[in-house]
Amino acid sequence: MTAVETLASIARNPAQVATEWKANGGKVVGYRCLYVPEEVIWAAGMLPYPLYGTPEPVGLADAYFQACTCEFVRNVFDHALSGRLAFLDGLVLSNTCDVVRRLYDIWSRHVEATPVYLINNPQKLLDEANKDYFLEELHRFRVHMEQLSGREITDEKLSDAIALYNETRTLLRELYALREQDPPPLTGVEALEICTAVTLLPKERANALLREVLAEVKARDVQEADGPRILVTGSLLDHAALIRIVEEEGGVVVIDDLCNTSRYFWHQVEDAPDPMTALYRFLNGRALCACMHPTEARIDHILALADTYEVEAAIDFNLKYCHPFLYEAPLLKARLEAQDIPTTVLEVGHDLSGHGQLRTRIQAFIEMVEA
Amino acid sequence: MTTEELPGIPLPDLKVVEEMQLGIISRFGEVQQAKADGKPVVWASVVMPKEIFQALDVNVIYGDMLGAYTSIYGLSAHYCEVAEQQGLSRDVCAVHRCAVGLACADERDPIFDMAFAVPDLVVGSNFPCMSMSRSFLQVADKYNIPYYFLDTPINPWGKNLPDHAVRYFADQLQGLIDFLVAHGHTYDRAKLSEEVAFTKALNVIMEEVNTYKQAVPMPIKAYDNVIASTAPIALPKEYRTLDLFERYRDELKERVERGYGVVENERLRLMWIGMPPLCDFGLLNYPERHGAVVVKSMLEYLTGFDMDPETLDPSRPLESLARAQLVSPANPTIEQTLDYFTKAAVDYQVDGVINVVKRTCGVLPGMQRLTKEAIFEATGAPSLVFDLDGVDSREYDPEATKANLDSFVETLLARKGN
Repeated sequence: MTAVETLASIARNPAQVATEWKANGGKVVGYRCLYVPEEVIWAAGMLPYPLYGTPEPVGLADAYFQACTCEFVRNVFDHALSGRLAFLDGLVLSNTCDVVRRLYDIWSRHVEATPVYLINNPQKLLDEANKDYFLEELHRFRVHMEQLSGREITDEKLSDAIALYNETRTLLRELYALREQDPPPLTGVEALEICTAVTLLPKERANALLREVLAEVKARDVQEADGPRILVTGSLLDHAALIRIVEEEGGVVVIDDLCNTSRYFWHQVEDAPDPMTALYRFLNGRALCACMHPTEARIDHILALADTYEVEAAIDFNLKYCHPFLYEAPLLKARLEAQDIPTTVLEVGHDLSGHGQLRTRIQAFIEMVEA
Repeated sequence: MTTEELPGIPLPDLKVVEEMQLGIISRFGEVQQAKADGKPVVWASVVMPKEIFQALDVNVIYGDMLGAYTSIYGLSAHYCEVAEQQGLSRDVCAVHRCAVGLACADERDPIFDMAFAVPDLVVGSNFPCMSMSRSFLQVADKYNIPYYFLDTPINPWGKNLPDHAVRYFADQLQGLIDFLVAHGHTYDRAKLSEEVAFTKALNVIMEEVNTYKQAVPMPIKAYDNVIASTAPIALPKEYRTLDLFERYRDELKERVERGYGVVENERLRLMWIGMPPLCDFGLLNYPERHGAVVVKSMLEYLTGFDMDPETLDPSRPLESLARAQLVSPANPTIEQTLDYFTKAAVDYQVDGVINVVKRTCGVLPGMQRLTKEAIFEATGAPSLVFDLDGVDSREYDPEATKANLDSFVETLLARKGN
């Protein structure tokens, strides 16, 4: 099996790595979203586990969340209720969307076996006025992780974790730089699965695999591709089905702006007087989620990606009832189209239902771009 | 103008509430006049600390309130469609779709043409949900005007707020003041203290009002209750006096003292959680035909005039406003909300809870189970949870809604042995 295939198989079975870690006596801490600094969890000797859903219909969770709430969150909560997340020793959520805030409420009352902690991060970023507040929240989180793990998180351990994670981010940036090529040597499906797997793995192992991936991809004999170069954006895609449709219909996905792909690794933790300040600056310095402000920063970032990757069209996959991204969609579409980048906004379910219709719309969009 | 001249608007039962309703509507015309006089117009939300706008004499359009009024006037379908043509999904909040549609429409119905003026500034916030901060971006984008985001931390701490949270939010409020000053307004700290003192005094009156509203039988109709609860924010300055609310209290007191109830032979007392049907507002009074009355509504806490007056210290206005907003029952997490509802269920002797789900809300559809459980545990009162988007009239089914209410009330009556 190649390194690319190894990572793809990990991405398709998200709980596997964490379950093995747990079986070997380690602790696992679940988390969502981008504003939970994994480095703190890792420095406490625990494995961070990003929550992913599966494309199955929601069952038990519908008794807690109405059917008109985010399907991703309901799906994840379904997993918690059915015991599929029983390997978690704790859960950490950050202050992002309204439904994740509610997940905190419901989880804390109905999944007693897994204590949940909330990082009350500001939603106004790129603004040092939040420094005292945000730093205090991060310090409290650090203390909580020490209590959960029973281990002290020294500055040295934290700095080591930051260095390790920075290496992961550097390797992923290097991989993504290859996608600037025309044609790119990596498909969109492969990129999504590699990134997803990396989020799940202990980073020493992830980094070793990423080095192998880089060697494999660089050695590829790339075939000519005729289709338009496409940017995919949205919140989170925890399976590759949608990107696969785009590529099967002739689109060439060259860059993705998703919670579990480029948003995860695009920025580095820079040097600072102490590691907590470094993490603060890192988190405050990337307003890449539609829950955060200022919105222009996020849109500018996407436009810069479109420029770097010489994008010819964009697809905005919005999960149904994902309000932050749905509100932002018209603004983003207008800005992309002002740059002559045709954009389609597709509201998609979290499960695989409706993919037939979706394929037709994607096909029509790609035909229109090619015309 | 009288209430009879306003099609679709129910006639309040209490004289003083009718006065409030007319006052609220009269405010519509002020916005355009102020704009014509050269004052900037600020598009903001009704749930922000209104004392700041009042102290700085800001000419505000409360976008979400205006959105709600499009529904009350039977125009929500039209303005929702305008917003959807701008690219907003039909799955995002109907109130905010109405507001965006109204702001972005090329033409408006006469009553809203009067209530609307092109804004010069936008203030958005993530309290109590993120719909406002996100939807208001559309307005800022449409008119290419400055936007201030008031970042409100959510509250997982309860009443014991940590200093870093209070400081941060007080700084955010100061930032709002700075933003308004930078765009032509004048700040006088003494005036802000006066506004906080006014709110404190008003809350003392509202505490008394609440004791009368808890009386059995219920002395005020559900619709009147909603209007009176929003009046402190929506009324223009000349109407918004302590005297008006003292008269409101006194009318209630008089009714309680003579044992007057809005329904004869009161049989059930209900609480309404979730957005009431704005496009059919009179429905709040519908259960009265069964001898049931809605004694408490969620809208009461949204306005910020149902709080402990001791939270406010006029000598420290920003810190007071920060504390008040952070501990508000409308601010996630759910702890404060559950405390509010369970206490209300006890104080108001609630027999049952109507707990409606607005399909396009990001907050309430994750709350029903928790409120239902907490209220039942505290009081034994059951809840009816059902889908009701009474904002976007395209999604509203009056007959199904009435059937749901009828069945629930009949079940409650049977349970009580009536």
